[in-house]
Amino acid sequence: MVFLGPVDRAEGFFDSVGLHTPRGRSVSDHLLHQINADFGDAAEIRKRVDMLCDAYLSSAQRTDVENAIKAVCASPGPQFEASATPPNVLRQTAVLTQRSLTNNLRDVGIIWARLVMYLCLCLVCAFVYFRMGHTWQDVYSRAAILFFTAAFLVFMSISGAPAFVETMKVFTRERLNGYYPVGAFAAADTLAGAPFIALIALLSAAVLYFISNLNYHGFGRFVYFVLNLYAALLTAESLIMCLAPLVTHFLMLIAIAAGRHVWRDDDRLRLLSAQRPATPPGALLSDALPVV
Amino acid sequence: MHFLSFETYLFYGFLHNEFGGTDGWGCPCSAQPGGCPTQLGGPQCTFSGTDVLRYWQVPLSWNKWVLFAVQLAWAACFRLLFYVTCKAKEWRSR
Repeated sequence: MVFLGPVDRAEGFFDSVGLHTPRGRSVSDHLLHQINADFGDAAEIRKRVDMLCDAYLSSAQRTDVENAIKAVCASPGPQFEASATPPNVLRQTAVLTQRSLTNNLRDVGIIWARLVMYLCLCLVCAFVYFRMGHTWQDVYSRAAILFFTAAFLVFMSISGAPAFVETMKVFTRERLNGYYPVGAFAAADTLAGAPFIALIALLSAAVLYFISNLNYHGFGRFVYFVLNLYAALLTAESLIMCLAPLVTHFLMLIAIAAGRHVWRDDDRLRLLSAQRPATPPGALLSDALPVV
Repeated sequence: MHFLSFETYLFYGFLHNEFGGTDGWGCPCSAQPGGCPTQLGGPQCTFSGTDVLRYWQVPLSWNKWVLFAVQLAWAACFRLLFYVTCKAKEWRSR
């Protein structure tokens, strides 16, 4: 041991064996440099370290340290006792929910960037199917925009994955430390996410519905549209969360979740394309094809 | 397989919401007496919303609110599954 004691006495100790710190040199750098054999002549530094060790053994600093240790051992002071009742699960959930909510509000990457992406996508979709009417082509168009809504918006839940991977890292560490049970975390994450997903569903639906003229028969249908979309977004979000603990690699998580969605959408696409009516002879081609 | 996917219920719910209980939709060419009408004349017959749903082969027995409830049940199932996978991971790392 070269030195054990208060920092402000270290320089004096090195001085006493003739290793003065030059002016303008950081003291800690200088002291470390004297005993670090990585960059200098190893044999010489080894000798210097031995000399320092001997000097320390016979120094006043060593007797002071030993006396201090003896004093602590003689009267150790009161023992720390952990609280007998761990915090209530409800309270843990409440605190975690509040933390998650704050995080969702402040971190632009979790909700707000996603909201903008959703709105842009909905605007594009809505203007592709701008003010639909009631002819047979429009029946096709309506089915098509509903399909795109179901497919794209659910698919876009993947944009929540990057943020959730970060959340899982925090959760894993805190769980290993035993701060709270898994149930509290799952419940808190659900509660904290729900209002923001509702906001996304509401605004997306509002953009889609009124630009593309889906609101054919009354306001109740719009409400149903929002609710149904909300439930689907919750489901998609949960699905990504299910995968997240199993697939910790971020890019693989995105790939697997996206793959799952595409596979499902493909199913629906086949349904739509299989039912395209056969065109009778002499019919206008535009009459039989969906207007896209 | 088709009914294992939660988007099925979403999409059928949307279709029910859009067409259920409505009337006055244009007909497909195949449903019209002389084949397709000319663009100028427009469709000569109309379909009700139920006809349209039947055309898309959407199960008519399911109310749109039933479909919505199924959708919610899916959400709850996946949330539970999330809890289970978290637990499973914890159990594995022990």
